[in-house]
Amino acid sequence: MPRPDQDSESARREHADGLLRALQRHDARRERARLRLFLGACPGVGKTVAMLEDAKARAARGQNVLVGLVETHGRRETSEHVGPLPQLPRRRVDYRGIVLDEFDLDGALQRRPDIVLVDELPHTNAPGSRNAKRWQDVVELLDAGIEVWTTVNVQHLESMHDVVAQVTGISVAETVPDGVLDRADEVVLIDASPETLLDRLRTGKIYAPDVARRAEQQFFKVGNLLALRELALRCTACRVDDEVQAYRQDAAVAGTWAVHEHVLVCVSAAPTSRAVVRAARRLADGLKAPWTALAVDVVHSAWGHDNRARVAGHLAYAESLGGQSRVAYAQTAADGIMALAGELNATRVVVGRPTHPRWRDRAFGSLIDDVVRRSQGLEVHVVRTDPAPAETTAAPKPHATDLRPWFEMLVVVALATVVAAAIDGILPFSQLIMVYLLGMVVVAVRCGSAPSWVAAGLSVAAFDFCFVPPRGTFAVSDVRYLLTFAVMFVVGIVVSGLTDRLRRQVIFAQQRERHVALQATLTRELAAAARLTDVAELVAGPIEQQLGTPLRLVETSGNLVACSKNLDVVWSMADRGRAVWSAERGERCGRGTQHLADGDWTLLPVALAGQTLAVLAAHAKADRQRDPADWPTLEAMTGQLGQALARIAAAEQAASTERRAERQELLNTMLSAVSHDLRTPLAALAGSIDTLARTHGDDGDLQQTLLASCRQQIDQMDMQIHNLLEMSRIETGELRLHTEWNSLEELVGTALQRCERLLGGRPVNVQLPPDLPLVNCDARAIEQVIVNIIENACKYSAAGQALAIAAWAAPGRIELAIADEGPGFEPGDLANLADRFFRGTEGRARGGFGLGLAICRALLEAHRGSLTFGNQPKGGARVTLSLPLEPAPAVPAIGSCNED
Amino acid sequence: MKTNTVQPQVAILVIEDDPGIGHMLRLALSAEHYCVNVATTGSQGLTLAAQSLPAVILLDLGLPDLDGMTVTRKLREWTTTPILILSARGQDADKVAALDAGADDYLTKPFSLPELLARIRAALRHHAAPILSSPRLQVGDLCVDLAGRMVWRGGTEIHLTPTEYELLAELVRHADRVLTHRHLLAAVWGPAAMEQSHYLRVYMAALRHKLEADPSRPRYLTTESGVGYRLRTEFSRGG
Repeated sequence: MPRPDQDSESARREHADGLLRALQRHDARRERARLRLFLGACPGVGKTVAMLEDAKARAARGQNVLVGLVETHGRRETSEHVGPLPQLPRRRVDYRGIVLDEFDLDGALQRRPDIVLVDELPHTNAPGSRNAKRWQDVVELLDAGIEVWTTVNVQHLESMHDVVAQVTGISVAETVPDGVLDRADEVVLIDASPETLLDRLRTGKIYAPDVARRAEQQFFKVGNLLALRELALRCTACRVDDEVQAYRQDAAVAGTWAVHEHVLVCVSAAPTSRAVVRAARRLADGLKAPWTALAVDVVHSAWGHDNRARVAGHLAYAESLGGQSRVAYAQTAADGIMALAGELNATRVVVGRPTHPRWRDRAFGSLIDDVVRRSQGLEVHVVRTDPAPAETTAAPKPHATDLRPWFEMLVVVALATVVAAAIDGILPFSQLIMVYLLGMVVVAVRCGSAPSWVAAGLSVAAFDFCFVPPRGTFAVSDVRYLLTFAVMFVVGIVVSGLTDRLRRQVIFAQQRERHVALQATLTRELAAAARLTDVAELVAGPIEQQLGTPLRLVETSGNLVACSKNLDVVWSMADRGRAVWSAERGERCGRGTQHLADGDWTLLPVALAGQTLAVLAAHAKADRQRDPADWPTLEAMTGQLGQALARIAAAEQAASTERRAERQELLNTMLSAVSHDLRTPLAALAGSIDTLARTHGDDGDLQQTLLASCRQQIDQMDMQIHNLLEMSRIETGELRLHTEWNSLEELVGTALQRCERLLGGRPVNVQLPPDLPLVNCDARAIEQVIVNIIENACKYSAAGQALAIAAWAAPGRIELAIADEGPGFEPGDLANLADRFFRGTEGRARGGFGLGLAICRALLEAHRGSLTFGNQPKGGARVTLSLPLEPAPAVPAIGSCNED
Repeated sequence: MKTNTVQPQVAILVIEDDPGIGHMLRLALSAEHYCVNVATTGSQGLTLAAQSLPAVILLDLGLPDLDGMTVTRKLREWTTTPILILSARGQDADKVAALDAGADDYLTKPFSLPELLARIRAALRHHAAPILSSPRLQVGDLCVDLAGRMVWRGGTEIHLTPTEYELLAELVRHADRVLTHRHLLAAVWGPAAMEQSHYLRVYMAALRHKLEADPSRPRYLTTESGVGYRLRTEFSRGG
C-alpha cells in the first residue's frame, strides 16, 4: 500500500518535471522564432489574403513586417491586398535561359524584419539555389530568429499525401515535411465552403478563365473539395489536440504516459519504400515515438549502382520526414533488422507488403516470415504499398547494362562444348556432362547468378544439340536423356547457387574487413598524430587509399588544412562556403545530403561535445550519388577524428599554458633585473648631467670627464637593451636564422670593430689560420656571440689586460676560443654560466643582466653548435664556441682560367 | 681633421618621424652651419625634397606611411641627391633594400654625431665629384692605379688576380660608400651571381691578406655586417 507521503512526493516530482518541460519548450520557442502557418484545404480559400490582412494589422501596431514573397497568381484582388507593406525584391535566377523569380533568402536575412511573409511553402526553388525547397529557407529564417508567416494547402503535407491521393486521385509532387507543421507555433485554418469556392472559381477570382474551366473539370469537384476540407479540419483538430496535450503537460495534469516506443522501418531499393516510410512516420507520430529507417546491405551484388542511389534517396527521404537513418551490414536482411532493433530497443518494425511472386518466398525464404518468427516482443507491421507512379526516386542516368559477364558466360559454354567434342569418343559419354558442369561452376564464380542460370540452360541445349543422338538436332532419340538433362540442369543451378552465395559471402567479408581495417588504421595512426596537419596527412594519405575516394580535412574557416597532398584537388570558393556552413550548423551537407547538395564534395562536421573542430570532405565520384554504404564508415571516422582533434587541441593548450607560465617567470626575473640594472646607469647619468649643469663651464677637464662617463653609460645601456631584445626574440621563437657562407675572420673583425670603445686600447691577440674554411651561419648571430664573449671578458678582467682570440678547424667542426687574463671562472659557477640572468659571484657588483652568455648559447644551439667554458692553465677564463663544418661551395673566378 | 672654413649654407632634409631625434638632428646640424628641414612622414618628405632641393637627405626607416625603399625609389626617379639611411638594429633587410634602391649610405641608431658628420661630408664630396678626380687613389700606405691596373702597398707592388683586382677596383670607384653584396656580386661576377655571397667572403679575405696589416682588424676594407663592404679613405677620431 503506497504511503500518502510517497504519493505526494511523486506528484511533486511530476509537477517539477512538468515545469522543467514547460520552461524548455518556452526557451526553445524563444530562441527559435515563431512560425505561423495559414492552412487551407485547396487553392483559392483566401490564405494569402488572410495573411496579408493580419500582416497589415501588425504593421499598424508598429511591427516591422516584410513581404518576402507573395504569389498573386495574377489575381488583382490579392496584389491590392499587399497595399502599403514593404516588399522584398525577388531574386532573379537564370536557369537554362528561363528567368525565374525566387524568394531572396539572403536579402530577408540581411534586412532582419520582425515578421517576414513567405507564401507557398511547398515551392521547389530554382536549381542552384542554396536550399532545394522553400520550406528549408523558412527553417533558416526561423533559426535566424525571424518570425515567419507562410501558407500551405493540406494536400501538400507529406503525411497527407497518400490519403489525398487515395481520395481525390491527385498526386502532388511538391510536399512539405510534417516536421515543419510540428514546428508551427500557430496554425490558422482558412476555411471556405465548397459552394463559395466554386462560385469564386467561376467568377475568375482563383484562376484565369481558361485555366479555371480545366481546373473545375479535374480538381474542383464538389466531392474533392469536401474531402480536402475535411482533411484540413481534421489536421487542424489534431494540432489543437497537441496543444491541449502540451497544456496538460505544462499544467502537470495527470494522464497516461506513452510507453517508450521506437519504430524501425525497413527500406530497400523498391519504389514502394517511400510509402512504407510515410506509413511508419504516421505510426510513430501516433505513438509519439522516435523512428529510424534502416537499409540492410546484405550482399554487395544486391545493391547495384542504381539501387544504391535509390536506397540513399529513401534514407534521405526518411531523414527529411524527421526520422533517423541507418545502414547495417548483415548476412540476411532479417539479421540486420533484428540486430538494430536490439540496439535501438525498438518496439515495432514496419515492412512493406511483398511485391514479388509467392514462389520466390518459397524458394529463398521470406523476409517477413523471418522477422515475424524471430520477433520476440517486437510488433511487426506489414503495410500496404501501392507503388505511386510519380514516385520514382531521382536516380542518376541509367547506365548501360554491363554485358561483360554475359559475354564471358557464352565463351565458357562454347569452350566447354569444344573440350567435350575433343574428348568425345575417348572418354565415356557421361564424362562430357562433367565438362559442362565444370563450365557452369566457372560461370557462377566469375559472372554472378543470372548468367549462371542461363549458362545451365545453354549447356543443356548445347549438350543436346552436339552430343545426344541424333546429333545436330534438338530431337532426343531416347526418353531417358530427358532425365539426364533435368539432373544436369538442376545440378548446374544448385552448384551455381552455392557458388554464388559463397562468392557473395567473400565479397561481404571483404567489405567488412575493409571497414574494420579502416577503423584499425584510424585508431592506430590517430594515436600518434600530434598536430592538426598530421591528421590531415593521415586523412589524405592512408585513409583515402583505403576508402578509395579522395578525402580532405578542412578547417572550420573553410580552408583545407595544409598538407602535402592538397595540391591535386579542386577546392573552390563554393566548397569553402559549404564547409563553413557545415561547421557552423554542425550538419553534413554537399553531395548526397539534404543541404547544398550541388558540388563534388560531401562535407561532414568533425565535432566533439557539440563543438565543431574541423570538417571532413569526401569527394564523390563525378555524376554519382554518395554510396549509402559509405555513411557508417564516414560517420565512424568523424567520431574518431573528433576525439583525436579534441585531444590535440587539449595538448596544445596545455603546452601553451606551460609556455606562458615559463614566459611569465622570465618576465618576472627580467623586470627585477631591469629595475636594478637600468636604473643604476640612469642614476649615474642623471648625476653627471646635474653636475654639468652646475659647473657653468668653469672646469673644462671635469666637463670632459663627466661627458665621457655619460657616453660610456649610454653605450652600456644600449648593449643591455640590445641583449634583452635579442633574448626576447629567442624566447618567443621569433629568431629566424639567415644563414650564409661566412668567414670567421670577417666576423671576428666586425665584432672587434663593434667593441672598439669597450676594448679601449686593450691588446687583442688574434690568431686565425689563413686557410680557415667558410662557415654556414647567420653572420649577425655569430657576430653577436663573439661580441658578448668579448664583453664578458672585458667585464671580468682588469683594463689593459690582453685578450686572445684563436680559431682552428677540427674534424667536422670549427672552433673559436676567446681567452682573457682575468681571475677566471669560479669552478662552482661553470655549470650555470649560460643560464638566463645568472651572474657570477663577482658579477653582481659589475652590472649587466647576465643575459650575454645565455644568448650565446641559444644562438649557437640554433646553429647546432655549442659553447664551453673553462679556465686556462696559466690563469684567465676561456670560452670556446664550436660550429658544425659543412663542405664549402665552390667559388669561381671571373673570366678565364688564368687566375693564380 | 676638423675644417674651420665657413661652408656656404648647405641644405639638409631630415625625414624622421621621432620628434626627439628630429630635434637633436636639427640642433646638431644647425650648429655645423647646415640649413635643416625636418619632415615627419614619407610623403611630406617627398614634397619637401622637391621644394627645398636639399644637398643631402637623411631618411629614417620605419616611417608611419611609406617604407624606406619606396621613398628612396620615388626620390631616385628625379634626383641623384645623396640619401643617408638612418636605421635601428634589426632592420637589415629594409636597409639593404633601400641601399639597393639607390640610397648611398646608412647609419645604425644609436649613431655618434662625428660619424654622421663624416658621412655627410663624404656624401657631399662624392656627389660633387662622382668620378674620381684622378685614376689613382692613395690612402694610407695603399695606392691603387686604376689606369695602369696596379696596386702598391708601402711602395711594393702587390700582385692581384683579375677577380681580386675587379673587386678592389669596384670598391675604389665608390670609395667611402657602402656597397651591398648584391651590388658587388653583380658588378664583378654578373647579375646571375647576385645571391652567391660566399664568392665575396673568399675574395675579400684574399684581398685583406694581401693589403691589410692585420686582416682580422681591417683598416681599409671594412665589413658592414649584413649589408656589404666599404673601402675607407677617411678615418674619424680613433678610427
